[in-house]
Amino acid sequence: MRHFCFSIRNALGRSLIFIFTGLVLSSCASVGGARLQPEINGLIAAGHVQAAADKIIAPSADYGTGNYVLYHLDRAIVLQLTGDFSASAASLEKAKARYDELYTHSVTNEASTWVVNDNMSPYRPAAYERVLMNVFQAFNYLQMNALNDALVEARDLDAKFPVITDAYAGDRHVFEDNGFARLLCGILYEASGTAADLNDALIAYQQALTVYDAYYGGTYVPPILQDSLIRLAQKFNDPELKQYRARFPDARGDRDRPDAARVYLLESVGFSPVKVSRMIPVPVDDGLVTKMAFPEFVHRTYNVHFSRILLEDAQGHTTGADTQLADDIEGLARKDLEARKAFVLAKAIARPALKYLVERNQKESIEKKHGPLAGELFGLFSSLYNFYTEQADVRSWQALPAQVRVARVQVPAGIYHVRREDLNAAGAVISVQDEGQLQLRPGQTYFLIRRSLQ
Amino acid sequence: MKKTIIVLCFFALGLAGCATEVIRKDTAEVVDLSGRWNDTDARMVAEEMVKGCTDGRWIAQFNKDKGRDPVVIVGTVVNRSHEHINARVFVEDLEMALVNSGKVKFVADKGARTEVREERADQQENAAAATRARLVQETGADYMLQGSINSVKDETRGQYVIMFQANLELVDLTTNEKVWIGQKKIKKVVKRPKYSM
Repeated sequence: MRHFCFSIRNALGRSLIFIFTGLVLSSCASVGGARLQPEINGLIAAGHVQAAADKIIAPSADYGTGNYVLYHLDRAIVLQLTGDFSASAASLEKAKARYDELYTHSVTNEASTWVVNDNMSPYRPAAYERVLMNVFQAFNYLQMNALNDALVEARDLDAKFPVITDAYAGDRHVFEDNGFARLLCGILYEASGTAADLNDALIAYQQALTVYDAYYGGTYVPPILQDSLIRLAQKFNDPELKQYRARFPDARGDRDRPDAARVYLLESVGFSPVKVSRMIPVPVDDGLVTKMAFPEFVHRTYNVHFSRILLEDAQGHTTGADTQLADDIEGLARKDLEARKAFVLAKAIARPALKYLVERNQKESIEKKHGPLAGELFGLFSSLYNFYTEQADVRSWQALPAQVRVARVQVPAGIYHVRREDLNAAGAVISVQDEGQLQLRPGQTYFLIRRSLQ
Repeated sequence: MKKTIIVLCFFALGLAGCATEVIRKDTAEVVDLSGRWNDTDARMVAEEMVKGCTDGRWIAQFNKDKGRDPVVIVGTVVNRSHEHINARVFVEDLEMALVNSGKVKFVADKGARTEVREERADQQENAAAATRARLVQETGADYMLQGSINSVKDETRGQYVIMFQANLELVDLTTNEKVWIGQKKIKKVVKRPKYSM
């Protein structure tokens, strides 16, 4: 017994016990909720969408306390992939409603993020995820042929943008507006066809141009946006028309023909990056260790880089277009984390330091009252607690794609056989999907919304 | 020990207060939970606007010209707001208010007519001749009530003001003349606290 007490006091002995116990505790990762999200997203990445759906809609499925929003975001994407757009829409509405409630921060909850870690706080989607909630909800309604409901999402986005910008202005977070969300609003307003909505479409396209210029530094504007700007600027004799023609000399901006129909392919490609925890161990006195833990995004590979939509008429003539990059979701995610990095790192440093100070004071107090052995034991176990609980917040909407790409085709009204080719980065066709027959009426705008999981 | 028992009792009482509670409310009672468009808004707007419509000069003129009550059909009410509003609920409230006004006759809309016509066609084949509803005897509407629901939202951190504006028009189905135009606005202010315990 005396020998055992002596080994506790010995710094090496303490370190060994500490490391061993820490490893044992770390391996006992929380079960259930915390493991479900990686399972679901692993199934999606492997293309086993129905299996992911079966898991995520099971009565016992949830992502754990505080992750209600995150659960419903992933659930919405999974259900959208299985074609259950109505249930997907319901999940997104739940996520939106709960997010609104989470505006109110619980003081005790926020305090616990300083005592334990950031995972104690309920998951609040990042600004780019908030915008994408409306985008994917619009996708649901378009696939239910409910253009009017998709327009509701566009109007909600119009109301939401200044609020999000205002919430993050001058703060440690930086909201990157979403060019594709603006472009999609324009597409939806234009599809509506009323005079007021066409005017709103032009404004949305102009806002999209501003955002793309800010994001890409003026080096990239989706060709589909270039065409749309010229097309509508012509329609309204907008004073910016000359400027658009000069800036986009290759854009045709063909007017919409009254006897023609338009087909949009809105394709989600790849997989958004996932956060992993990076750890830096920090030695403290007496051979014990604490750590700083912070999140970092890791890229997930995918093969399909763009797609081609092909419409073949009864005479065998084929009209097609390749999808163009419209939304770099991976880039937005990385920018969002980068913008918050300073705060995340500062908290990752401050919290273990704070915990260590509290621990040291308590240890001294216990030593005085109960003797050195009690103090040492307290020090050992509280250090274990501090080490184990210092976990990075690696939560994110993992079911999102890496990109959204758009293609637009204008064809005379009639019956077409539609095919979609998926191509890799080298331009080689990886797969061909038969999208069946499509009957297009004059003036109709048809939306084909797909997700590539290869 | 005594202190422990007292604490446990308070704890138990507190837990008892956390049970799910169901309270029945009168359907006419106003309950605003979230600031979104709700059943009270639909009912209030429908009742007030139909009253304004049926009090209009066009009814007296019609009665004088035709010697009977006008026949009205409810057309499309388009949702142009930024919330998903069940326009069907609003349309049904409009229909109820029209019927209850007693000043107009009201006929089934496009959706309801399909089922009625199917039943009538079925009766021609299957019902006794004396009991069959006759074909080509529908009452044509004189006017169609159409409209839209719009919204304007002003939001800043933690609070927003939202104004819903319902616009309705009564259109003469023969001449396309708009004989009545009405508008009703509802404004709501929603505040959310930044912090709670």
